[in-house]
Amino acid sequence: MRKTWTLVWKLLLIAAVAGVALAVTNQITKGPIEEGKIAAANEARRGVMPEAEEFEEITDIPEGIDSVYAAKKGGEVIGYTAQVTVNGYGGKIEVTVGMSVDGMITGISVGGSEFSETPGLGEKTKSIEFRSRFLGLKFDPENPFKAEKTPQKENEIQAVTSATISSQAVTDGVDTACGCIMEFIAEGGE
Amino acid sequence: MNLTISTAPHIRCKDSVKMIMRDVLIALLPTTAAGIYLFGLNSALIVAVSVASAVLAEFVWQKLAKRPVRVKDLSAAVTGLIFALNLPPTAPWWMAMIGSAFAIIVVKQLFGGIGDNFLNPALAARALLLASWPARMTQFVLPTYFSGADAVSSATVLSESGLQARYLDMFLGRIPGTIGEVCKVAILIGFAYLLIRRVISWQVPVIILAVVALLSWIFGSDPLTAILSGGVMFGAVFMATDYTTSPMTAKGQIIFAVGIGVIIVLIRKFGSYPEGVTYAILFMNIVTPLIDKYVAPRLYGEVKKHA
Amino acid sequence: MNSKTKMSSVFLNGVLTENPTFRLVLGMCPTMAVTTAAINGIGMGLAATFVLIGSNTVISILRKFVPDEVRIPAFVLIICTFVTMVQMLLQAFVPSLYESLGMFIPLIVVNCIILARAEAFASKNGVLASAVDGAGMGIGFTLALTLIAGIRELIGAGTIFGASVFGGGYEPMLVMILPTGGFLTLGILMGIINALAQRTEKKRIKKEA
Repeated sequence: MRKTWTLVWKLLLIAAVAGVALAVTNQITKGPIEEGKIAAANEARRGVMPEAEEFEEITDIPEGIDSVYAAKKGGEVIGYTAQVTVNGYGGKIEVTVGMSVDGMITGISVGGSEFSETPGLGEKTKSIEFRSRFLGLKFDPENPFKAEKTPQKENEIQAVTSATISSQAVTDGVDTACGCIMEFIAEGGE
Repeated sequence: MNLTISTAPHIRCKDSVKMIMRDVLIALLPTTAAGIYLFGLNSALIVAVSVASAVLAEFVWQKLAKRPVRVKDLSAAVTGLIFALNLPPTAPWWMAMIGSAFAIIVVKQLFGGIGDNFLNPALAARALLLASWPARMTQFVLPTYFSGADAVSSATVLSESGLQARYLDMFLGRIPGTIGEVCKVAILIGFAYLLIRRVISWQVPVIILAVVALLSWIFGSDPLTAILSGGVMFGAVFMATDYTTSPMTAKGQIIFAVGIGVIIVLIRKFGSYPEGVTYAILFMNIVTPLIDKYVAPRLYGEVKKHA
Repeated sequence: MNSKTKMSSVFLNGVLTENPTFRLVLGMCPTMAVTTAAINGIGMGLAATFVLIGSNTVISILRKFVPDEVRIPAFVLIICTFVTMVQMLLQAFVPSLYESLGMFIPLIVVNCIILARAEAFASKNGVLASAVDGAGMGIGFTLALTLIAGIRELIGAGTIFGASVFGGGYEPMLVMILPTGGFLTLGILMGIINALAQRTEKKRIKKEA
């Protein structure tokens, strides 16, 4: 019995010291981690909306959309960013779209923590080369964007070679996000 | 008691390997010729580079490893040629070189050389290249002979958006595909030669084709298109019949062939790749030791357990 | 002098003779998973080194205090503490590395090298020797990971530490940064190292004879 108690208090002591050590580390790192997260999120939004000075989250958003932010410059709303999650070839893909109030796409970003498209193929949807194909386009809800091997119409986007599934997934995400932003623009204009 | 089982011929000598390999080379001639005729000079270059680097890789490796140099048994040349015929006609020469060297050194020699490799070297190399340069490996063009100098990039017949080739076109090879797989007449001539020379038996290729046709029909596709398109026929005749990587008993070979047929159709139907011959054969290569273990030939004089 | 040579032999033991990756073949899961780029190899290696030195030192200090019956839970507790600390520190100060190593940082806990060294070395040897053993094993692990990751990144992406090596005309051999490439690289490297080890061993025997 005495032996058992020795085991218990020794383990408890080790656990307590470990707990204190972790608490101290947490105290030191808590601040930088939070700041880093906010900075990273802002960076991502600025990437699709370079002109914006600040972003304001809109909480009342339709289902199927992760988050919507109003981009502001000098107090005035100049556009919106919307993030959606789609299913790619390897896993979930987060697509963020920025659109100015006149309906033009100012940028898209592709990624997310679960992004696992095949390197060299679907992974290229992350590349600036593919993302820039959406730049400056206007979204037409009647003719949503489509990823095609050989684009012919205006709403057809050149897919990444041999990665049609990933390209189409990202394009679908862009369509959903654009559709959502269009509604906000329409409401804001009234 | 530790008996090893093996198929006939039980007498092993260099000449028997060489004779078989020479017959395989002869059987591959019509296909090779058809591929070069249909797709033009670049395919001739690929074939030459591929065969040369396979033979060279085998020679250099055996010298370095201080093993007896046996390039004269022609098996490296056969691997190089089959591998070249598995490449798209637009492939650059360096891809043929890397693939052949990988097939010979990594897949064949590192596992013990001829007779000891567990995967078909040419197919393993094709799978490696498919994972390395997927865009280049799936860039198929219409035969230049029929479409003039400008080869148009086009999908395989298997993908839905591909062109709906007529049976005759598919039979003669007027379709996009790898160098060796398109011309079915040439493959069948090679098949007939191998049968006459008794190098291979008819069961494996015929069963694969039958299973593919039957299953495609059940899944609602055209059975004739299924066996005339893609690499099914080339794979069934020249790659599924490889001695080392297929089962030794007749019963085992039937299981092997049925397995390949089923996997091909499953990949075509439900997979994200348009063609599955490579992976089907490689998968059954891996299963082969298992098949051999459970379908061992019954010894003479042994009493059946449940007579 | 004598103890100095002993320390250096403890250190070299981890780096070369009993290299955790190539000779002991421990910690294969992170080896396969993170070695797609040289920087990840170094990052993973250094994170594991930090944990190894820390856990080896603490476990060696406590080796007489911890009763035999509960030594494994005690070791795991100590290792977990160090891993969690590394995770928080990386996330706070090197977020980019934290992101690319991802879930493999918490998995350092179950990296066999660390518990193996705790059990096989730190619980039986002095504090300084244990710390040196941790450093040696950690550096050996780091070197191995960086070598594998460097080869894979060079062939599979055409870069080294992110810098382009072959210029624009190079078409990267993608398979090398896929899991298949990890197995191919590790297998071939291990073959080469075994061959070299055999050769030096033969020479040594000849000399002695």
